[in-house]
Amino acid sequence: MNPNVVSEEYLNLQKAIINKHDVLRERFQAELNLHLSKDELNEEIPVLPQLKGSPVPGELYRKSIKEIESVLSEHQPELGEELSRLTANLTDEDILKWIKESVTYNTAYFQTFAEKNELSAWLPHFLAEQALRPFMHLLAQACRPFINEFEVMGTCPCCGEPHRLAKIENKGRKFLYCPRCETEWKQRRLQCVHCGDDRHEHLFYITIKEDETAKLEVCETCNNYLKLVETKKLLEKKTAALLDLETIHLDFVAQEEGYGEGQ
Amino acid sequence: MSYAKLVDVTKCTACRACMVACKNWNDLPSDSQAYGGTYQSHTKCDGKTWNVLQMKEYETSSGGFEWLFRHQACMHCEEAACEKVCPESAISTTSLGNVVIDQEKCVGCSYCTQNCPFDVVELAEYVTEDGETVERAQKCTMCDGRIQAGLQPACADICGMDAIVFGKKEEMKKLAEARLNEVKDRYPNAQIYDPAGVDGTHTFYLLAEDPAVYDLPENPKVPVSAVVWKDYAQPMGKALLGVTTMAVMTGYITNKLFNKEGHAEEGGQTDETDKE
Repeated sequence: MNPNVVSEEYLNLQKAIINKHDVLRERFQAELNLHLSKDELNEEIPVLPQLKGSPVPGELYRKSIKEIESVLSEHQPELGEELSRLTANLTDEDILKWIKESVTYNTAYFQTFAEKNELSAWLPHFLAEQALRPFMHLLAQACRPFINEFEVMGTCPCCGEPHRLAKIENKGRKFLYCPRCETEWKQRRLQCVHCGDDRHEHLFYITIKEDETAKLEVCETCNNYLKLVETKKLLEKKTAALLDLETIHLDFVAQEEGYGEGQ
Repeated sequence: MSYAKLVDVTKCTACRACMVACKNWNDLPSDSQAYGGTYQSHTKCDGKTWNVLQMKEYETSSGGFEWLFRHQACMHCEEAACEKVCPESAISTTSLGNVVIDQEKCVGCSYCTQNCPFDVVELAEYVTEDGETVERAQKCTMCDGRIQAGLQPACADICGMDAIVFGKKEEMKKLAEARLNEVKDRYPNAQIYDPAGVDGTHTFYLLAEDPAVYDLPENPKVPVSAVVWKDYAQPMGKALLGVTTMAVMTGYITNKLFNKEGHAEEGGQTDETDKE
Protein backbone atom coordinates (compact mmCIF):
# COMPACT_ATOMS: atom_id res chain seq x y z
CA MET A 1 0.00 0.00 0.00
CA ASN A 2 2.99 2.27 0.44
CA PRO A 3 5.23 2.21 -2.61
CA ASN A 4 7.37 5.09 -1.30
CA VAL A 5 10.98 4.61 -2.40
CA VAL A 6 12.56 7.43 -0.40
CA SER A 7 14.56 6.31 2.63
CA GLU A 8 13.17 7.11 6.07
CA GLU A 9 16.31 9.08 6.92
CA TYR A 10 16.08 11.35 3.89
CA LEU A 11 12.35 11.81 4.36
CA ASN A 12 12.96 12.95 7.94
CA LEU A 13 15.60 15.44 6.79
CA GLN A 14 13.22 16.84 4.19
CA LYS A 15 10.39 17.04 6.71
CA ALA A 16 12.69 18.96 9.08
CA ILE A 17 13.60 21.37 6.28
CA ILE A 18 9.92 21.82 5.38
CA ASN A 19 9.13 22.60 9.02
CA LYS A 20 11.97 25.10 9.05
CA HIS A 21 10.55 26.74 5.93
CA ASP A 22 7.30 27.33 7.81
CA VAL A 23 9.13 28.86 10.77
CA LEU A 24 11.17 31.12 8.51
CA ARG A 25 8.14 32.16 6.48
CA GLU A 26 6.36 33.29 9.63
CA ARG A 27 9.45 35.15 10.83
CA PHE A 28 10.14 36.94 7.54
CA GLN A 29 6.53 37.78 6.90
CA ALA A 30 6.60 40.91 9.07
CA GLU A 31 9.92 42.14 7.70
CA LEU A 32 9.06 41.54 4.08
CA ASN A 33 5.89 43.33 3.15
CA LEU A 34 5.04 42.06 -0.29
CA HIS A 35 2.15 43.90 -1.85
CA LEU A 36 1.19 42.94 -5.34
CA SER A 37 -1.45 44.48 -7.49
CA LYS A 38 -3.01 42.39 -10.20
CA ASP A 39 -3.47 45.39 -12.49
CA GLU A 40 0.26 45.77 -12.98
CA LEU A 41 0.77 42.16 -13.95
CA ASN A 42 0.42 40.31 -17.22
CA GLU A 43 -1.81 37.30 -16.66
CA GLU A 44 -0.06 35.13 -19.22
CA ILE A 45 3.39 35.29 -17.62
CA PRO A 46 4.35 33.97 -14.17
CA VAL A 47 4.47 36.62 -11.43
CA LEU A 48 8.08 36.12 -10.34
CA PRO A 49 9.85 37.31 -13.55
CA GLN A 50 7.50 40.33 -13.73
CA LEU A 51 8.55 41.75 -10.38
CA LYS A 52 10.46 44.99 -10.62
CA GLY A 53 12.58 44.45 -7.54
CA SER A 54 13.96 41.26 -6.00
CA PRO A 55 11.49 39.64 -3.58
CA VAL A 56 14.48 38.38 -1.57
CA PRO A 57 16.46 40.82 0.61
CA GLY A 58 20.12 39.76 0.90
CA GLU A 59 20.22 40.06 4.66
CA LEU A 60 17.24 37.76 5.22
CA TYR A 61 18.53 35.32 2.62
CA ARG A 62 21.75 34.99 4.57
CA LYS A 63 19.73 34.24 7.73
CA SER A 64 17.73 31.67 5.81
CA ILE A 65 20.93 29.96 4.60
CA LYS A 66 22.20 29.87 8.19
CA GLU A 67 19.00 28.20 9.42
CA ILE A 68 18.89 25.59 6.66
CA GLU A 69 22.58 24.91 7.31
CA SER A 70 21.84 24.18 10.98
CA VAL A 71 19.08 21.71 10.04
CA LEU A 72 21.42 20.00 7.58
CA SER A 73 24.34 19.68 9.98
CA GLU A 74 22.02 18.47 12.73
CA HIS A 75 20.75 15.61 10.56
CA GLN A 76 24.06 14.90 8.84
CA PRO A 77 26.86 15.86 11.24
CA GLU A 78 29.52 14.70 8.74
CA LEU A 79 28.57 17.68 6.54
CA GLY A 80 29.25 20.14 9.36
CA GLU A 81 32.82 21.05 8.42
CA GLU A 82 32.04 21.50 4.73
CA LEU A 83 28.94 23.57 5.52
CA SER A 84 30.68 25.95 7.90
CA ARG A 85 33.53 26.42 5.39
CA LEU A 86 30.94 27.26 2.73
CA THR A 87 28.90 29.75 4.73
CA ALA A 88 31.90 31.43 6.39
CA ASN A 89 33.34 32.38 3.02
CA LEU A 90 30.12 33.76 1.52
CA THR A 91 30.59 37.46 0.77
CA ASP A 92 27.68 39.89 0.40
CA GLU A 93 28.39 39.88 -3.31
CA ASP A 94 28.06 36.07 -3.37
CA ILE A 95 24.75 36.32 -1.57
CA LEU A 96 23.28 38.66 -4.19
CA LYS A 97 24.60 36.42 -6.96
CA TRP A 98 23.15 33.33 -5.21
CA ILE A 99 19.72 34.93 -5.00
CA LYS A 100 19.72 35.75 -8.69
CA GLU A 101 20.99 32.34 -9.78
CA SER A 102 18.77 30.30 -7.46
CA VAL A 103 15.67 32.21 -8.58
CA THR A 104 16.46 31.26 -12.17
CA TYR A 105 17.47 27.74 -11.10
CA ASN A 106 20.94 28.00 -12.64
CA THR A 107 22.51 24.67 -11.67
CA ALA A 108 25.54 25.33 -13.88
CA TYR A 109 26.50 28.40 -11.85
CA PHE A 110 26.35 26.49 -8.56
CA GLN A 111 28.37 23.62 -9.95
CA THR A 112 31.16 25.96 -11.01
CA PHE A 113 30.91 27.59 -7.58
CA ALA A 114 31.33 24.18 -5.92
CA GLU A 115 34.32 23.33 -8.10
CA LYS A 116 36.00 26.66 -7.38
CA ASN A 117 35.56 26.31 -3.64
CA GLU A 118 36.28 22.56 -3.53
CA LEU A 119 32.81 21.62 -2.25
CA SER A 120 30.51 18.69 -3.07
CA ALA A 121 28.86 19.45 -6.39
CA TRP A 122 25.28 19.14 -5.04
CA LEU A 123 25.73 21.17 -1.87
CA PRO A 124 25.71 24.87 -2.90
CA HIS A 125 22.62 24.56 -5.11
CA PHE A 126 20.74 22.43 -2.57
CA LEU A 127 21.41 25.00 0.13
CA ALA A 128 20.63 27.96 -2.13
CA GLU A 129 17.33 26.46 -3.29
CA GLN A 130 16.17 25.40 0.17
CA ALA A 131 17.02 28.85 1.56
CA LEU A 132 15.01 30.45 -1.23
CA ARG A 133 11.83 28.45 -0.60
CA PRO A 134 10.46 30.54 2.33
CA PHE A 135 10.58 33.62 0.08
CA MET A 136 8.80 31.71 -2.67
CA HIS A 137 6.10 30.74 -0.16
CA LEU A 138 5.70 34.40 0.82
CA LEU A 139 5.42 35.43 -2.81
CA ALA A 140 2.78 32.72 -3.31
CA GLN A 141 0.88 34.06 -0.30
CA ALA A 142 0.86 37.55 -1.82
CA CYS A 143 -0.41 36.17 -5.15
CA ARG A 144 -3.12 33.97 -3.63
CA PRO A 145 -6.05 36.41 -4.02
CA PHE A 146 -5.73 36.62 -7.79
CA ILE A 147 -3.68 33.59 -8.89
CA ASN A 148 -6.73 31.70 -10.19
CA GLU A 149 -7.25 34.39 -12.82
CA PHE A 150 -3.82 33.75 -14.33
CA GLU A 151 -3.55 31.69 -17.47
CA VAL A 152 0.04 30.64 -17.80
CA MET A 153 0.72 27.71 -20.10
CA GLY A 154 3.01 24.97 -18.81
CA THR A 155 4.39 26.53 -15.63
CA CYS A 156 3.36 27.65 -12.15
CA PRO A 157 1.67 31.06 -12.49
CA CYS A 158 3.54 32.29 -9.44
CA CYS A 159 7.16 31.10 -9.60
CA GLY A 160 7.41 29.62 -13.10
CA GLU A 161 8.25 26.08 -12.02
CA PRO A 162 7.22 23.48 -14.65
CA HIS A 163 4.11 21.46 -13.71
CA ARG A 164 4.63 18.05 -12.22
CA LEU A 165 2.14 17.63 -9.39
CA ALA A 166 -1.61 18.00 -9.00
CA LYS A 167 -4.05 16.98 -6.33
CA ILE A 168 -7.57 15.67 -6.67
CA GLU A 169 -9.69 17.08 -3.89
CA ASN A 170 -13.27 16.48 -2.83
CA LYS A 171 -15.81 16.09 -5.63
CA GLY A 172 -13.00 15.32 -8.05
CA ARG A 173 -11.75 18.88 -8.37
CA LYS A 174 -8.23 19.07 -9.76
CA PHE A 175 -5.77 21.55 -8.33
CA LEU A 176 -2.25 21.99 -9.59
CA TYR A 177 0.13 22.19 -6.68
CA CYS A 178 3.60 23.71 -6.98
CA PRO A 179 6.28 22.00 -4.89
CA ARG A 180 8.53 25.07 -5.13
CA CYS A 181 6.21 27.85 -3.87
CA GLU A 182 3.18 25.84 -2.60
CA THR A 183 0.80 27.77 -4.88
CA GLU A 184 -2.33 25.85 -5.76
CA TRP A 185 -4.74 26.73 -8.50
CA LYS A 186 -7.75 25.05 -10.05
CA GLN A 187 -7.49 23.36 -13.41
CA ARG A 188 -9.77 21.56 -15.80
CA ARG A 189 -9.86 17.88 -15.01
CA LEU A 190 -9.56 16.58 -18.56
CA GLN A 191 -6.86 18.66 -20.15
CA CYS A 192 -3.12 18.23 -20.52
CA VAL A 193 -1.55 20.98 -18.44
CA HIS A 194 1.55 21.03 -20.61
CA CYS A 195 0.09 21.47 -24.10
CA GLY A 196 -3.58 22.21 -23.45
CA ASP A 197 -4.87 19.24 -25.45
CA ASP A 198 -8.30 18.25 -24.18
CA ARG A 199 -9.09 15.36 -26.51
CA HIS A 200 -9.70 12.58 -24.04
CA GLU A 201 -8.44 9.88 -26.40
CA HIS A 202 -4.96 11.41 -26.10
CA LEU A 203 -4.91 11.42 -22.30
CA PHE A 204 -4.13 8.30 -20.29
CA TYR A 205 -3.56 7.28 -16.72
CA ILE A 206 -0.80 5.02 -15.47
CA THR A 207 -1.69 3.51 -12.11
CA ILE A 208 0.61 1.72 -9.72
CA LYS A 209 -0.62 -1.59 -8.38
CA GLU A 210 -1.77 -1.29 -4.75
CA ASP A 211 -1.20 2.49 -4.66
CA GLU A 212 -4.67 3.95 -4.51
CA THR A 213 -3.67 7.52 -3.70
CA ALA A 214 -1.36 8.49 -6.56
CA LYS A 215 -1.27 7.95 -10.30
CA LEU A 216 0.18 9.43 -13.47
CA GLU A 217 -1.64 11.40 -16.11
CA VAL A 218 0.16 11.21 -19.44
CA CYS A 219 -0.49 13.02 -22.70
CA GLU A 220 0.17 11.32 -26.04
CA THR A 221 0.24 14.66 -27.84
CA CYS A 222 3.15 16.26 -26.04
CA ASN A 223 4.56 13.16 -24.31
CA ASN A 224 4.56 14.83 -20.91
CA TYR A 225 3.26 13.61 -17.59
CA LEU A 226 1.69 14.93 -14.41
CA LYS A 227 1.58 13.23 -11.02
CA LEU A 228 -1.93 13.13 -9.53
CA VAL A 229 -2.38 12.64 -5.81
CA GLU A 230 -5.86 11.97 -4.48
CA THR A 231 -5.54 14.06 -1.33
CA LYS A 232 -9.20 13.34 -0.61
CA LYS A 233 -8.10 9.84 0.39
CA LEU A 234 -5.46 11.04 2.85
CA LEU A 235 -6.04 11.80 6.51
CA GLU A 236 -3.41 14.51 6.82
CA LYS A 237 -2.97 17.60 4.69
CA LYS A 238 0.53 17.52 3.22
CA THR A 239 2.64 20.23 1.60
CA ALA A 240 3.33 20.01 -2.12
CA ALA A 241 7.05 19.55 -1.44
CA LEU A 242 6.37 16.50 0.70
CA LEU A 243 3.83 15.01 -1.72
CA ASP A 244 6.31 15.53 -4.54
CA LEU A 245 8.98 13.63 -2.62
CA GLU A 246 6.68 10.83 -1.54
CA THR A 247 5.56 10.22 -5.11
CA ILE A 248 9.03 10.25 -6.64
CA HIS A 249 8.52 6.62 -7.70
CA LEU A 250 5.96 7.94 -10.19
CA ASP A 251 8.64 10.08 -11.83
CA PHE A 252 10.79 6.97 -12.29
CA VAL A 253 7.88 5.07 -13.79
CA ALA A 254 6.88 7.90 -16.13
CA GLN A 255 10.42 8.44 -17.37
CA GLU A 256 10.99 4.72 -17.83
CA GLU A 257 7.84 4.66 -19.95
CA GLY A 258 9.32 7.42 -22.09
CA TYR A 259 7.36 10.44 -20.85
CA GLY A 260 8.67 13.78 -19.70
CA GLU A 261 10.99 16.58 -20.77
CA GLY A 262 13.60 15.65 -23.33
CA GLN A 263 12.30 12.12 -23.78
CA MET B 1 -4.85 12.39 18.62
CA SER B 2 -8.56 11.58 18.57
CA TYR B 3 -10.23 11.03 15.21
CA ALA B 4 -13.90 10.78 14.38
CA LYS B 5 -16.28 10.09 11.53
CA LEU B 6 -18.99 12.68 11.02
CA VAL B 7 -22.14 11.44 9.29
CA ASP B 8 -24.12 14.38 8.00
CA VAL B 9 -27.44 12.71 7.21
CA THR B 10 -28.77 15.88 5.58
CA LYS B 11 -26.28 15.41 2.73
CA CYS B 12 -26.91 11.70 2.22
CA THR B 13 -28.67 10.64 -0.99
CA ALA B 14 -28.96 6.97 0.03
CA CYS B 15 -26.78 5.77 -2.86
CA ARG B 16 -25.42 3.00 -0.61
CA ALA B 17 -21.90 3.32 -2.00
CA CYS B 18 -20.66 3.21 1.61
CA MET B 19 -22.21 -0.24 2.04
CA VAL B 20 -20.55 -1.52 -1.12
CA ALA B 21 -17.17 0.05 -0.31
CA CYS B 22 -17.30 -1.50 3.15
CA LYS B 23 -18.08 -5.00 1.85
CA ASN B 24 -15.37 -4.58 -0.73
CA TRP B 25 -12.54 -3.38 1.48
CA ASN B 26 -13.32 -5.70 4.41
CA ASP B 27 -13.97 -8.65 2.10
CA LEU B 28 -17.38 -9.39 3.63
CA PRO B 29 -19.73 -11.94 2.06
CA SER B 30 -23.00 -10.83 0.51
CA ASP B 31 -25.99 -11.57 2.68
CA SER B 32 -29.33 -11.39 0.90
CA GLN B 33 -32.34 -10.82 3.05
CA ALA B 34 -36.00 -11.15 2.14
CA TYR B 35 -37.82 -8.02 0.98
CA GLY B 36 -39.25 -6.35 4.07
CA GLY B 37 -41.58 -3.84 2.47
CA THR B 38 -39.12 -0.93 2.38
CA TYR B 39 -36.23 0.18 0.20
CA GLN B 40 -33.81 -0.63 3.03
CA SER B 41 -31.67 -3.62 2.06
CA HIS B 42 -30.89 -5.08 5.51
CA THR B 43 -32.83 -4.66 8.76
CA LYS B 44 -29.72 -3.75 10.78
CA CYS B 45 -25.95 -4.07 11.04
CA ASP B 46 -24.67 -7.57 11.71
CA GLY B 47 -21.50 -9.64 11.59
CA LYS B 48 -21.53 -9.85 7.80
CA THR B 49 -22.86 -6.37 7.02
CA TRP B 50 -20.96 -3.79 9.01
CA ASN B 51 -22.88 -0.80 7.78
CA VAL B 52 -26.46 -0.48 6.65
CA LEU B 53 -28.16 2.48 5.06
CA GLN B 54 -31.30 3.11 7.06
CA MET B 55 -34.25 4.58 5.13
CA LYS B 56 -37.19 6.14 6.93
CA GLU B 57 -40.37 7.50 5.43
CA TYR B 58 -41.19 10.23 7.90
CA GLU B 59 -44.16 12.52 8.37
CA THR B 60 -43.02 15.84 9.80
CA SER B 61 -44.91 17.67 12.56
CA SER B 62 -46.33 20.07 9.96
CA GLY B 63 -47.71 17.17 7.94
CA GLY B 64 -45.01 17.18 5.28
CA PHE B 65 -43.11 14.13 4.05
CA GLU B 66 -39.37 13.53 4.38
CA TRP B 67 -37.14 10.68 3.33
CA LEU B 68 -34.67 10.27 6.17
CA PHE B 69 -31.46 8.38 5.48
CA ARG B 70 -28.77 7.32 7.93
CA HIS B 71 -25.49 5.51 7.45
CA GLN B 72 -25.61 3.08 10.34
CA ALA B 73 -22.43 1.47 11.68
CA CYS B 74 -20.42 0.99 14.88
CA MET B 75 -20.39 4.24 16.86
CA HIS B 76 -16.91 3.62 18.36
CA CYS B 77 -17.94 4.86 21.82
CA GLU B 78 -15.31 6.61 23.88
CA GLU B 79 -16.47 4.52 26.83
CA ALA B 80 -17.20 1.29 24.98
CA ALA B 81 -19.51 -1.17 26.72
CA CYS B 82 -18.33 -4.01 24.47
CA GLU B 83 -14.76 -3.40 25.57
CA LYS B 84 -15.82 -3.34 29.22
CA VAL B 85 -17.69 -6.65 29.15
CA CYS B 86 -15.23 -8.66 27.05
CA PRO B 87 -13.85 -11.35 29.36
CA GLU B 88 -11.00 -12.13 26.95
CA SER B 89 -9.86 -8.49 26.57
CA ALA B 90 -10.26 -9.01 22.83
CA ILE B 91 -11.84 -5.55 22.31
CA SER B 92 -9.67 -2.46 22.59
CA THR B 93 -9.58 1.22 21.63
CA THR B 94 -6.69 2.25 19.37
CA SER B 95 -4.69 5.46 19.69
CA LEU B 96 -6.90 7.04 16.98
CA GLY B 97 -10.08 6.32 18.97
CA ASN B 98 -11.62 3.47 16.98
CA VAL B 99 -12.72 0.30 18.77
CA VAL B 100 -11.41 -2.95 17.31
CA ILE B 101 -11.89 -6.66 18.01
CA ASP B 102 -8.88 -8.96 18.07
CA GLN B 103 -10.15 -12.00 16.17
CA GLU B 104 -7.40 -14.19 17.66
CA LYS B 105 -8.62 -13.49 21.19
CA CYS B 106 -12.40 -13.48 20.61
CA VAL B 107 -14.10 -16.69 21.73
CA GLY B 108 -17.61 -15.75 20.56
CA CYS B 109 -19.12 -15.48 24.05
CA SER B 110 -21.58 -12.80 22.82
CA TYR B 111 -21.31 -10.58 25.94
CA CYS B 112 -20.47 -7.62 23.68
CA THR B 113 -23.49 -8.23 21.46
CA GLN B 114 -25.77 -8.21 24.52
CA ASN B 115 -24.30 -5.01 25.95
CA CYS B 116 -23.84 -2.76 22.91
CA PRO B 117 -26.04 0.31 23.56
CA PHE B 118 -26.59 0.67 19.81
CA ASP B 119 -27.17 -3.01 18.99
CA VAL B 120 -24.44 -3.01 16.36
CA VAL B 121 -21.93 -5.72 17.18
CA GLU B 122 -23.08 -9.25 16.23
CA LEU B 123 -21.63 -12.72 15.93
CA ALA B 124 -20.78 -14.18 12.54
CA GLU B 125 -20.12 -17.81 11.69
CA TYR B 126 -16.79 -18.95 10.30
CA VAL B 127 -15.38 -22.28 9.29
CA THR B 128 -11.83 -22.74 10.58
CA GLU B 129 -9.03 -24.55 8.74
CA ASP B 130 -9.91 -27.69 10.68
CA GLY B 131 -13.45 -27.58 9.31
CA GLU B 132 -14.89 -26.52 12.65
CA THR B 133 -17.68 -23.89 12.67
CA VAL B 134 -17.05 -21.09 15.17
CA GLU B 135 -18.73 -17.78 15.98
CA ARG B 136 -16.80 -14.54 16.35
CA ALA B 137 -17.93 -10.99 17.20
CA GLN B 138 -17.77 -8.72 14.16
CA LYS B 139 -18.36 -5.04 13.52
CA CYS B 140 -17.02 -1.97 11.73
CA THR B 141 -13.34 -1.34 12.59
CA MET B 142 -13.36 2.18 11.05
CA CYS B 143 -11.04 0.50 8.48
CA ASP B 144 -8.27 0.30 11.04
CA GLY B 145 -5.68 -0.84 8.49
CA ARG B 146 -6.45 2.12 6.26
CA ILE B 147 -6.47 4.85 8.90
CA GLN B 148 -3.28 3.54 10.49
CA ALA B 149 -1.70 3.88 7.02
CA GLY B 150 -2.89 7.50 6.71
CA LEU B 151 -5.82 6.74 4.40
CA GLN B 152 -9.49 7.64 4.81
CA PRO B 153 -11.90 4.84 5.85
CA ALA B 154 -13.48 3.15 2.81
CA CYS B 155 -16.96 4.61 3.42
CA ALA B 156 -15.70 8.19 3.84
CA ASP B 157 -13.43 7.79 0.83
CA ILE B 158 -16.23 6.66 -1.47
CA CYS B 159 -18.92 9.09 -0.29
CA GLY B 160 -19.52 11.42 -3.23
CA MET B 161 -21.71 13.81 -1.24
CA ASP B 162 -19.27 14.25 1.68
CA ALA B 163 -22.06 13.00 3.91
CA ILE B 164 -19.41 10.83 5.59
CA VAL B 165 -16.21 12.64 6.49
CA PHE B 166 -13.36 11.52 8.70
CA GLY B 167 -10.76 13.62 10.49
CA LYS B 168 -9.64 15.03 13.81
CA LYS B 169 -12.58 15.01 16.22
CA GLU B 170 -12.35 18.72 17.08
CA GLU B 171 -12.34 19.67 13.38
CA MET B 172 -15.27 17.36 12.71
CA LYS B 173 -17.14 18.95 15.64
CA LYS B 174 -16.60 22.41 14.16
CA LEU B 175 -17.76 21.19 10.77
CA ALA B 176 -20.88 19.68 12.34
CA GLU B 177 -21.68 22.96 14.16
CA ALA B 178 -21.31 24.92 10.93
CA ARG B 179 -23.54 22.51 9.03
CA LEU B 180 -26.12 22.56 11.82
CA ASN B 181 -26.50 26.32 11.35
CA GLU B 182 -26.93 25.84 7.60
CA VAL B 183 -29.64 23.18 7.86
CA LYS B 184 -31.64 24.67 10.75
CA ASP B 185 -34.09 26.38 8.38
CA ARG B 186 -35.00 23.23 6.53
CA TYR B 187 -34.84 20.88 9.55
CA PRO B 188 -35.86 22.76 12.71
CA ASN B 189 -35.27 19.63 14.85
CA ALA B 190 -31.75 19.11 13.48
CA GLN B 191 -29.17 18.28 16.13
CA ILE B 192 -25.72 16.85 16.69
CA TYR B 193 -25.80 13.35 18.14
CA ASP B 194 -22.62 12.66 20.10
CA PRO B 195 -24.10 11.05 23.23
CA ALA B 196 -22.50 12.06 26.52
CA GLY B 197 -23.65 8.88 28.30
CA VAL B 198 -20.89 6.93 26.57
CA ASP B 199 -18.49 9.90 26.77
CA GLY B 200 -19.04 10.81 23.10
CA THR B 201 -18.56 8.57 20.10
CA HIS B 202 -16.03 8.40 17.29
CA THR B 203 -18.84 8.07 14.76
CA PHE B 204 -21.22 10.90 15.41
CA TYR B 205 -24.14 12.37 13.54
CA LEU B 206 -25.74 15.52 12.36
CA LEU B 207 -29.35 14.32 12.48
CA ALA B 208 -32.27 16.04 10.78
CA GLU B 209 -34.77 14.91 13.42
CA ASP B 210 -34.80 13.61 16.99
CA PRO B 211 -32.66 10.52 17.61
CA ALA B 212 -35.75 8.40 18.30
CA VAL B 213 -36.93 8.97 14.72
CA TYR B 214 -33.75 7.20 13.59
CA ASP B 215 -34.17 4.40 16.19
CA LEU B 216 -31.25 5.81 18.15
CA PRO B 217 -31.38 5.83 21.97
CA GLU B 218 -31.91 9.35 23.39
CA ASN B 219 -29.32 8.90 26.08
CA PRO B 220 -27.35 5.67 25.69
CA LYS B 221 -25.33 4.52 28.70
CA VAL B 222 -22.83 1.84 29.41
CA PRO B 223 -24.98 -0.78 31.22
CA VAL B 224 -24.33 -0.78 34.97
CA SER B 225 -23.79 -4.52 34.87
CA ALA B 226 -20.98 -3.93 32.36
CA VAL B 227 -19.27 -1.45 34.64
CA VAL B 228 -19.68 -3.75 37.62
CA TRP B 229 -18.39 -6.67 35.63
CA LYS B 230 -15.24 -5.11 34.24
CA ASP B 231 -14.31 -2.72 37.01
CA TYR B 232 -15.19 -4.84 40.05
CA ALA B 233 -16.29 -8.40 39.42
CA GLN B 234 -13.68 -9.37 36.88
CA PRO B 235 -10.61 -8.23 38.82
CA MET B 236 -12.19 -9.62 42.01
CA GLY B 237 -12.98 -12.86 40.23
CA LYS B 238 -9.31 -13.18 39.40
CA ALA B 239 -8.38 -12.47 43.01
CA LEU B 240 -10.99 -14.99 44.21
CA LEU B 241 -9.55 -17.55 41.85
CA GLY B 242 -6.32 -17.20 43.81
CA VAL B 243 -8.17 -17.63 47.10
CA THR B 244 -9.91 -20.82 46.00
CA THR B 245 -6.68 -22.25 44.61
CA MET B 246 -5.07 -21.60 47.96
CA ALA B 247 -8.03 -23.23 49.71
CA VAL B 248 -7.71 -26.31 47.51
CA MET B 249 -3.98 -26.46 48.09
CA THR B 250 -4.24 -26.06 51.85
CA GLY B 251 -7.08 -28.59 51.88
CA TYR B 252 -4.90 -31.08 50.04
CA ILE B 253 -1.98 -30.52 52.41
CA THR B 254 -4.13 -30.81 55.57
CA ASN B 255 -5.78 -33.93 54.20
CA LYS B 256 -2.39 -35.41 53.62
CA LEU B 257 -1.20 -34.40 57.09
CA PHE B 258 -4.19 -35.84 58.89
CA ASN B 259 -4.06 -38.83 56.57
CA LYS B 260 -7.75 -39.64 56.87
CA GLU B 261 -7.35 -42.75 54.76
CA GLY B 262 -4.92 -44.17 57.27
CA HIS B 263 -7.35 -43.47 60.09
CA ALA B 264 -10.16 -45.06 58.14
CA GLU B 265 -8.12 -48.22 57.60
CA GLU B 266 -7.33 -48.40 61.24
CA GLY B 267 -10.99 -47.87 62.06
CA GLY B 268 -11.93 -50.57 59.64
CA GLN B 269 -9.65 -52.91 61.31
CA THR B 270 -11.16 -52.18 64.73
CA ASP B 271 -14.63 -52.63 63.24
CA GLU B 272 -13.61 -55.93 61.83
CA THR B 273 -12.14 -56.96 65.14
CA ASP B 274 -15.40 -55.93 66.78
CA LYS B 275 -17.31 -58.22 64.43
CA GLU B 276 -14.99 -60.99 65.12
